[in-house]
Amino acid sequence: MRAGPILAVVLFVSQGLTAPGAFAQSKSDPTRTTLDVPRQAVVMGDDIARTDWSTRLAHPSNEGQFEVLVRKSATQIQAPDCKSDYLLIRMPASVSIGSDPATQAAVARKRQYFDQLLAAYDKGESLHAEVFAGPYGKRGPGGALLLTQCNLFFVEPASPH
Amino acid sequence: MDAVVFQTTIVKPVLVAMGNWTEASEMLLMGTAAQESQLIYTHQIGGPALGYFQMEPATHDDCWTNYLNFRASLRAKVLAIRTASGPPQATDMETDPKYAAAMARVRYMRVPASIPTSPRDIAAYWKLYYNTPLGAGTVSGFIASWNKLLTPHPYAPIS
Repeated sequence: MRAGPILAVVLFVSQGLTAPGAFAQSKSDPTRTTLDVPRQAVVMGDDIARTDWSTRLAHPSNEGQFEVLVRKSATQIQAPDCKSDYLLIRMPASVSIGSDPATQAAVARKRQYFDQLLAAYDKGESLHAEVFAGPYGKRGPGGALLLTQCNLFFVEPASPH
Repeated sequence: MDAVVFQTTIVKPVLVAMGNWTEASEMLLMGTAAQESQLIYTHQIGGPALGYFQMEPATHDDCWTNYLNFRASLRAKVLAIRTASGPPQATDMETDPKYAAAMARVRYMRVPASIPTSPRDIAAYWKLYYNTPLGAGTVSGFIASWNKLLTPHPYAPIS
């Protein structure tokens, strides 16, 4: 049962990186999943300061990164080595060397997405989002998502073009 | 560690020994160490990363398995820099700053894009290829660390 109306988020992205540590977030990423978390299990924005987490990404960085906490117990995700009560969902950064309009547009979409999430949060709505674990997770034998740490990542909001 | 000492006794000698010194590569490693460890921490608080460059053991091991072991000349240079004997271990980076610097340079060698020359672009390069888009670090954080720890010597501030 959801605590309230959900925030529907339009996602899906195709960003290819080939650098060491690059990540996949395509539909074929086996760690990709949909999260539906009641509002009372979500912490974001200035409220993160009231938890035991310390972050400089409570609000979007210049690269569009931000972080949202969700109570581990409110999800089906297994994270036995995560010592916190919370899982951390981070929006990946958009970075370019030198000025790049496409990167700037991606950052703007991420900021807009954060604003949508925060507005829904302030209205008491549940969090509904596509996430992936990338190198920090795998599927267990029964298909359950198993994290190596506490980290999840938002699938980036797609370009409208 | 003092930044000039770190530059002159660790980073530059390692890059020279690897046959790989350029001003840009030196600034990249100096900025990386300043941001990752503040030139203080050699063990990540609450995480697995090791050494002044805060490289995770999995990354260290992958550099050996999938890169260095296929490049005999470079492999020999890295082993010559390392002070310990026996098979290379990630934990060596915690106690051997020259080895940690060499492994950080190796990690950047795996990046197809060339190292930029301006410090501001070096900050973005670090974020893209070392911290990665999934990491919690920010370009502004890198610049702040640079300006706090690497100026006025050995480098000018990033404005």
